[in-house]
Amino acid sequence: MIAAEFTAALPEPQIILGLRLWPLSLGRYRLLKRFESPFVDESPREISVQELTKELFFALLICGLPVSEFKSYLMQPKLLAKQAKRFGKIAGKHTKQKGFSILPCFEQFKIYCAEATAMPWHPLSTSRTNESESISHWSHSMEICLRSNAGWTAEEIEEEPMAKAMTDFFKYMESQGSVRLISHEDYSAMEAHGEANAKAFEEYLATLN
Amino acid sequence: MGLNLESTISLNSASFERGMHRVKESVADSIKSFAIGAIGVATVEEAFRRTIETADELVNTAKRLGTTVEQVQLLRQAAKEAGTEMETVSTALEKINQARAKALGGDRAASAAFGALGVSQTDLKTKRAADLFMHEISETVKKVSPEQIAQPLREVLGRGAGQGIAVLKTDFDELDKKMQGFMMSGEVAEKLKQLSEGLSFMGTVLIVQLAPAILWCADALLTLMKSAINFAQWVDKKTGLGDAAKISGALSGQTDLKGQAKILGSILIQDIKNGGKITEEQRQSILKANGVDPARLDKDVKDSAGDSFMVFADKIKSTIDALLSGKLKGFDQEADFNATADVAKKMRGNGRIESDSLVKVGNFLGSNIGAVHAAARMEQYSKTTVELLRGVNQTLKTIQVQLPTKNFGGNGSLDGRMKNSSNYSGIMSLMDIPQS
Repeated sequence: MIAAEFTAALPEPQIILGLRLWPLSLGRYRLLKRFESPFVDESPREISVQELTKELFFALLICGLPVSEFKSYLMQPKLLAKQAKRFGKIAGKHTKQKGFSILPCFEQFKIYCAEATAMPWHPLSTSRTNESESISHWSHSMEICLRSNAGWTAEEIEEEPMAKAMTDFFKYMESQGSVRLISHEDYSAMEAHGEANAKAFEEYLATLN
Repeated sequence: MGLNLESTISLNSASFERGMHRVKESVADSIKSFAIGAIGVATVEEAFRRTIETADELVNTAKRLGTTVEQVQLLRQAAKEAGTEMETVSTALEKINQARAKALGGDRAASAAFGALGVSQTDLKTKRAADLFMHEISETVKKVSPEQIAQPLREVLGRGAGQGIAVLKTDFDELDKKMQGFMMSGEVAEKLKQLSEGLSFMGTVLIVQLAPAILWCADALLTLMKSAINFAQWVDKKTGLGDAAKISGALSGQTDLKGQAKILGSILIQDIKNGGKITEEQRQSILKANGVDPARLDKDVKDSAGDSFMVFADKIKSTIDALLSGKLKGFDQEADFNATADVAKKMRGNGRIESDSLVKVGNFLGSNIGAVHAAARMEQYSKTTVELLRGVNQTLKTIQVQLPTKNFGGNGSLDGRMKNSSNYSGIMSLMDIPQS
């Protein structure tokens, strides 16, 4: 197990606007996706700062609570309101500070998402067949794979860090021969090697013309 | 309670979809609105209002100090880390401007002071006070002991020079890196300022792609698309066998490597078959040189355009094998042969097969085919065959970047074991090239 794998299992805690966030898990990611949070949008989106501020507060609320608790609050609006008010009070103290800007909070949340899903290594596809892709979202495929093959429970899906889920998922895929895991350094070296080779070959061919 | 599930859903498919869309929006939006309401609309608005105020103040400060919004934030952070106030830095910048005016006006003491702080006359004429503070003066302060430059510092920064030294010792490049993403850009600050002045109703921020879990896929896709389009351009420019626009278009949205190879192959074959941009003579030469039966080619193109490229690639390989073993006679392209051989010899340099350039090219081919083996072949290929192989190898290169070389039949290095290697099984099966 390399150091990054330990980090994947226990990421650094993040605090944004005074709220300590739970690690971004598959469950939390899917909640963000369900509520169409721009922070998990797979394509660039233009959005006003006002709207994005609201989205950030809501995303923080999702990530500041255990997934099962948040889900249960959806059926108990009074409890959801209580939690939201508590968070609002804490956040309010921060927003009143001199020189406050919400923009760094956006960046911090982006980093939270990026760090939570940073891969300890680079997976390379070794697929030799031309299978068509599943229409299911990758997060669902990952859950099915982890639960049926890696012994993950529903609770782990909801709460374990996404990076840990990805680590286990790709480890399993590697054991099946679908991917090969290489270090980011090796991948970079491989890319550089390919580029250098292509350039050398280009130069060589130029001499032919 | 804010949940609203009252949207009507009918079984008419169009209105059903519309209804579903409304339900989805309604539930998600109402929960969000409810939660935001509970957090406190005032808190959320306060966050936004404060951001605008901060932007307004940053733009004004930047204008007052004759610097950029980003520099103001950097200097503010540096002051904070040095345990002093931004006011100290603002005063220092104003003093620099005053001293600069003196120096440019012919004041010898001021000029000498700037000189002692590493600021040239050109710098004085072209750079902003903040630039001089964060670069030239800061660099000098870091290198020289404060006692040695106390007098020039006082001359340039005024009485507050002592407090300014702590800020000047900041590694501004490092701080800039650290604050990347956390600083408000000048453009955004200006937009927000306009918002505060009622000049604009909406300030927009472009959110970059944020789904990091699939970032590596996107990364790989970009690499693939780039190499595929490069390949298309190469085909267009160098060989005339394909049309870059057509290939690029055909590849758009194609994420699968093998699929890419098939599309490329299909287009190349069609062009060869139809003449494309090449002359009939060239076309015949290619077909002849590679032992391709035009009738077979027709059938391949008709039956399965993509796979036929793999068959075609296999034909090239067979031709090469035949050439090497001397089975193929009457190969009438002596000029091409010699030209290629000359280049290969030059690349070898003094007969050493390990020469750098040969190793590089060998590596390229060798990762897939066998370095030395491939290099040796170069001397025997016709120019046309090399050109065609180049197309194949560009495709292989794309795959090589994506896949570990061991999957290409174990030919991943230039060590002795590879010298006689002709094992293509890995790459051939990868590309669906039939193995005889």
